[in-house]
Amino acid sequence: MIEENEIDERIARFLSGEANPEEAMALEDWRELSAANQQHFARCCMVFGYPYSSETNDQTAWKEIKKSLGFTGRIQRANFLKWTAGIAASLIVITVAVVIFNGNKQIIDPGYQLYTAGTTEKKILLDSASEVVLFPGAQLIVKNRHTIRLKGSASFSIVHDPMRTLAIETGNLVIKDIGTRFSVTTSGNNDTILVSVTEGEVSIHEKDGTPVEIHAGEEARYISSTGDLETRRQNAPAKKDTSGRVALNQKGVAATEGKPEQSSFADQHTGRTGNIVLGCNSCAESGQLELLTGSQRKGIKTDFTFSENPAGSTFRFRYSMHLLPGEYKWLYRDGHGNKDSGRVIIESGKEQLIRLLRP
Amino acid sequence: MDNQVHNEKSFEAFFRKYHGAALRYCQTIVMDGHEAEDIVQKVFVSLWRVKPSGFPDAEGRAYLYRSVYNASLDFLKHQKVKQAHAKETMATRSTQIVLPEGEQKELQQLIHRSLDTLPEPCRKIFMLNRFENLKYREIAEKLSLPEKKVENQMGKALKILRESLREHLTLLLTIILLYHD
Repeated sequence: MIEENEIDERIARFLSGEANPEEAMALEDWRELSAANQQHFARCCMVFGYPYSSETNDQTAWKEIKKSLGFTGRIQRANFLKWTAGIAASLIVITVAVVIFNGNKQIIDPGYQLYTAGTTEKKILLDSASEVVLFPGAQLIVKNRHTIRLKGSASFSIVHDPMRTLAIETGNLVIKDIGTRFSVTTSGNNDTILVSVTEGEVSIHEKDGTPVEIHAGEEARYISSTGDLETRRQNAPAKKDTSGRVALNQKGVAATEGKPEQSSFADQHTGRTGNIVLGCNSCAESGQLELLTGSQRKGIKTDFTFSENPAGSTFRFRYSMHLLPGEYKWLYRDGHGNKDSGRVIIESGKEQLIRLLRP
Repeated sequence: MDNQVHNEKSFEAFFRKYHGAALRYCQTIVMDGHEAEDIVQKVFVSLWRVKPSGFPDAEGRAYLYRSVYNASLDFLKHQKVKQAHAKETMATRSTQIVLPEGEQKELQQLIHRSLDTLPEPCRKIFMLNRFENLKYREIAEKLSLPEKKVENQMGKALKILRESLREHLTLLLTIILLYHD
């Protein structure tokens, strides 16, 4: 809903060609509310010298579209070529680019937008305030306003929008923006992904994994081939670029390697992940697990469904998830009203079995 | 076949509901009526090809606006519109007829006189945007101002001009409505 005291600003923004799609829709909604609003808008158009007309030539436009799409049963080839030439060209570009990108043949959704940085950086505006800078050689596919896929390295400056949680897919990792500036660096033949957060925080997880939050001044290193994920404070000094934003050293992992800071075991999770395995015989099909860690009581909450074990197994039902090493307090609830809790220490590369709902 | 007919009818209803607004939006970005018509029609064609069975209304509308936005920006990149229009006056920005020529000229003269009544930096910002086609970010850089301030001042300029020309604009709006009937 647009406030009365900001309507002229919004209209000026729209008529100046500055409005993003969401702003344009909101303004149209406001315009449609009343005849008075429509007149207000019309006057503003005239002030701007904008070619206002309360009517658009819908009938002619619809006729052309019908012909192009063959709704009348006939396709006039000249119009078909006219209307589809531009679309076909862009589709071909996207199709070819993504085939090269993936090395696999796949059907491309024409809604995708593909961006590639050649030998220099490329800046892409996601909306009026958020942007991505692709580093040389990187590629970005914008699937929709919620999901983008990255190959290579990039830095992100995302303005938090409660109506949109942006998810960035890179390899098998998903990075969810919570309103932040951060960079993603891939190395080692795309096997190593380094996520460094400058401001705000992000949440990262493997595609079916547990989210881990990374805060400003922290970074996470993920090895795709082993599934290892470690987090630590950033060691390299940051340097400011001329725009005033803080940019991390782009040498990637090598620049930030070093001994991790010593800190309380419960607050600093480093090293290779371990497994927590929940087993039970008399629980509901699905449940919720909450894990609390550290003096700050940071929590991970996840809803999950148990999988059934083969006959003869110790437990009938099982759920497993990766966690960074550390001490956790766990809380379990399920749909039958069952509850259970306890403490567990996760060690790198090891599995911890928890039997739920002991009689 | 019945499904096809149903889908076509739904698509036509969707088109009629949103074509005008999509066209208005596109025009603000590409600043050319004919090109905007072309772009919007291509977007609708591509929408049908993506999903002939249609989208839920809100989703389809959002997809339409985003597609129009992206297509408009792509057009600008290829056409170098800024250079082509750099010295155009407001009166020649589009080919769409709005007012009889006499009224159009009179409006332009009134607006130019009213610009002198705007306070600074409001006037300067408005003129950079309207006559030199600078974007908000470019104006902010040029005048060393925050972009938000540019946005505020543009809204202020619009409000002052709209109110100072209120009577004349009301009369002209009436002329438009009569002209198009």
